[in-house]
Amino acid sequence: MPHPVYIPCVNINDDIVQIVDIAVSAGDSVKTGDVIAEVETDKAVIPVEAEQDGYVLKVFCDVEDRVKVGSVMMWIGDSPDEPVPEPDSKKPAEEPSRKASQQPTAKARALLEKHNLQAEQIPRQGERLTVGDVEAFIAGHDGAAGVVSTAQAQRREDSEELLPGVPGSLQSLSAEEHGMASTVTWHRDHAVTAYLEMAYDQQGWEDYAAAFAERHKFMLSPLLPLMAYRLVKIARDMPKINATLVNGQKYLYDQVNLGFTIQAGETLYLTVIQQADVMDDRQFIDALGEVQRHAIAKKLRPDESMGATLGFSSMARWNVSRHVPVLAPYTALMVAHSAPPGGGQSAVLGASYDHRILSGHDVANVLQEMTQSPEFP
Amino acid sequence: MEKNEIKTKIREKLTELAGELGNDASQISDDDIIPATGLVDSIRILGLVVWYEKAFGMSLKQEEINIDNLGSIELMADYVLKRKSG
Repeated sequence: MPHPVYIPCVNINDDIVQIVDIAVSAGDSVKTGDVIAEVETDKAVIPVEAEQDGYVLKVFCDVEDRVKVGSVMMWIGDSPDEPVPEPDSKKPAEEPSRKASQQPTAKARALLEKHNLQAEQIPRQGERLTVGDVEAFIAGHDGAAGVVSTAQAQRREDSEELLPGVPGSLQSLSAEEHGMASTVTWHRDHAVTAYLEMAYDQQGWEDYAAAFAERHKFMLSPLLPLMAYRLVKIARDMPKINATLVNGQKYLYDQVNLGFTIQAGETLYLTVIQQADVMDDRQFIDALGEVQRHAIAKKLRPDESMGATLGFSSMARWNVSRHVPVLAPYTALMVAHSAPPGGGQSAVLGASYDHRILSGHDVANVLQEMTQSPEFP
Repeated sequence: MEKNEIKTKIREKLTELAGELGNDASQISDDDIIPATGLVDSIRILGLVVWYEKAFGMSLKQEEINIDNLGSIELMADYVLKRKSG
């Protein structure tokens, strides 16, 4: 009996995904768990696996197609000569396309994102959450933190940018460019950011990292992973750095998901180590190494690129001696490592932070702890 | 695949990665410890490992990525053969 393979719903904010790889064609035999395709969202590339043994009967999309979540990607049958069902004739009521139809409308999602609101907060009149539902909610909460008036929102909705008066052409953003635009827009629209930095002597950290690498026979210096892990440990003792602000209230995360920037080719990723707070230093370094390899191979899993609660970034690789990082969405702190200027050991460690949650004193304490050289066991 | 053929492929890739930084890795010996040569930076060493997995059809666990297994061209070639025979 033929079985449909649907375009997966990876992220509630993504109605459309891009096909980046189709690994099979009609007539191929597949086993349960085989990767038969890869799709890309704004955040990551994820594999689509066969859910049963069988034969590919027909594939409905090509590489680089942009396709709707919940639509049929291909059919798999028990034998290679089964007839392909008519479109949608096998789609059961509970398939992802129906779930997608219950998601907020595109305009409603844009308004939710603009006001840092969750769909679940908003009462809805019909099956789908509409922009009218969101506007009614905003109007009823006028003046609350993070929520501007309906009139203000409408003015912003209406403020379409004019094209420059110089000849040129419009191009769509790539998935990665779109992700970066979303991040910096959250930074601009929601966080109230400030920046601090502290000078320190990096030699102690370098020595510790070299000894750690020798002991564990690492291929690469663990300097940056060890510094990032220090930040995780500080967050365990100081939960307010692992938090965000939602509707005027502080939201303290129950786990530390450490965001770590990686430049892989032309693409900058904020990779994420989930639940870093329950790892020891070696486990953290291994987890980060694996995520880095996935980023370079452009095979990050969704959980490796979403849900950061705290951030660490370095531009030392390019000999940048100071940088002010953008905060990842829904985080309050991003620590910035840079190269010692002039090739010496005296460097600065910086931090961008959301001043709605953290004070300069809080962040100075974090940097003070971060810049202390580790003690050898 | 013969060991010499494996070493040649690794050397070619290493030379390509070093060339991106303006370095010439063509004269690197089979036994030179790759990270210690300074010819490639950390992200390119990771790139070499990712390429190595794909080129020789292996999926490495993180704990396998160490100096003893992948530290030099010689060791990398040996490790391909060890994994293929195991």
